[in-house]
Amino acid sequence: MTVWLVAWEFFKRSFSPRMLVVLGVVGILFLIVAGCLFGAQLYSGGHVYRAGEQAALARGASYHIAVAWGILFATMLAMGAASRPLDDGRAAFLLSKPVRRSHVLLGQLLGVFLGALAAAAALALLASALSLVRAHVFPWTLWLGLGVASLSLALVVALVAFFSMFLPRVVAGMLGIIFYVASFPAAFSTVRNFMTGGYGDAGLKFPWYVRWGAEAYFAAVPPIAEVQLRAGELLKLQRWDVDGWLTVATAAAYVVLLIVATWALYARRDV
Amino acid sequence: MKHFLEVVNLTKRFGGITAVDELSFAVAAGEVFGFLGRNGAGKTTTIKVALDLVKPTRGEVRLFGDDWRDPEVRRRVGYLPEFPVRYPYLTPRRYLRFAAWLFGLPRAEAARRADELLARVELDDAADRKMAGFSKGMLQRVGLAQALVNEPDLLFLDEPTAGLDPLGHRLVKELVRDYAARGKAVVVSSHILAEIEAQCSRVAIIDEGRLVAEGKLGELLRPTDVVEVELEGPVAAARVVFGKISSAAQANGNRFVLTLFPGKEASDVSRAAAGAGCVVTALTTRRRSLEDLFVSVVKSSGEDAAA
Repeated sequence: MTVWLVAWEFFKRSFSPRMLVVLGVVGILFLIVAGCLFGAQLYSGGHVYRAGEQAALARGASYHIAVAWGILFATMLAMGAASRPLDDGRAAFLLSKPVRRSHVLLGQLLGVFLGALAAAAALALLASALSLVRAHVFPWTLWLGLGVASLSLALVVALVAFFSMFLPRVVAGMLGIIFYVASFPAAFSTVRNFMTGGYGDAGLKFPWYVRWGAEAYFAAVPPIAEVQLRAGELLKLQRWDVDGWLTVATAAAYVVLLIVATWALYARRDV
Repeated sequence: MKHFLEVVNLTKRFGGITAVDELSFAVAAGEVFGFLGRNGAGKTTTIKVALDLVKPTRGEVRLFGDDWRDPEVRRRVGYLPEFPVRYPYLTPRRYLRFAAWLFGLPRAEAARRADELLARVELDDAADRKMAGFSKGMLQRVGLAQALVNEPDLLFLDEPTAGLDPLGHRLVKELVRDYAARGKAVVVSSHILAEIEAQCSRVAIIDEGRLVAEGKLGELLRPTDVVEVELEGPVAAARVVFGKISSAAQANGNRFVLTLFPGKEASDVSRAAAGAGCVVTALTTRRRSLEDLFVSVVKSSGEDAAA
């Protein structure tokens, strides 16, 4: 119960007036970009895509923008999630009550994670509205993808919070992103394209979690499902293969490991 | 006697700095305990250790006879920190309800308690304004209210009157008196010695983390601690010997006002004067203030450490 109480306070704090302004600006920019994706003839000439396919591409792009924004937001929030309350007196207030230290830490991280997820969801909501207006389809798959990507946001929060326990906040944020990107190169199409022929053909051996990100999205939401959805065949998704589950399991374990490491530092800190 | 707070051989080091050094004292039910010391003497650190905010290097604390590290024991504890409120985006009403929820109070009870406390600290009018624009005094009142949200049996007040106006000072005084009258214990850490003297039944003075004086005010502030003496003879020699038995030797011609070190008596003054070749022509004694005691023991402690 106290975890949720603490999380709720940190979640609300995530949306300070300054953050709401940033979110508003990003939302407007997103509307412009996503509006173009949904409405323009992107593939003219000899490669005209059907409306459903174009909508699917737009939803995929929306997913990536929403998650990228969520990651950025998560980084901004997580920079001070664990360490800042220890220094500014908020942790002292909470810990002087009958609240366990572990509950305070978990509540803080949970609040920040939910804040980042809400920020990404806000963009997904805009994309959904556009999809409904322009393509007359509610993008279930976008939300499914976002659900899968929530683990990615959790990882960013855990990474940045961990580094913030012993590094200045800005450095922790930068290092968190660097570690995230280094962990998930396959999440970025440019990196994937650079590895001609995919991981196996390129001869590169990455841990399972590198397939997180775009791979996880397409594992959960194959483009074919979008077309089927358009045709009224609801969510005939491909089953995840072993790699998909291993990717999720590895990422989840990574998050848990980071939280335990953060706790090891947090538990010893004087407030 | 039932002790609400027991500090036993507590030591806390921050790197090479010893903030608290083998400190021991106890606070019983119904006591208002004054905790005095210079800036950096270790008062706040001691309170924070008692609340498990700071981990001790050695020693232990018992709250109501139980281990201080058990969060459940804090259900009976209230704490006003030195810098009380860090939730500028909340209103006092919301903040107090949040504090009450952390104690597990049901929503209706938390709302009732918050309203009651807002009235008590005279912040009803500002109850629904965000605290971002509050003055230091207003924040201190909110901090005081949150410390009382659980009707604590043991209340820690760290500089409770900082930033408060005279009405606020009176509010704190009444509150402390009320709590002690109801058999609860209050630990007050403050620099305002007159306040401590007026409110506390017992005090502890710490310096550089060590306990240098502890006891009931009536015992510590004896009626014969300050000696006014007039001499005939070599005044300069007398000043030197008086410096060994008192913290202040204010000379006004042949007249001295001496605040005696602990354990020294008026007879020691006469003996010292005689030793310096002087004759005492007049000698009167009076009770010293807590400030005199504080200066005396801290100075004495400093001299001991130097020796």
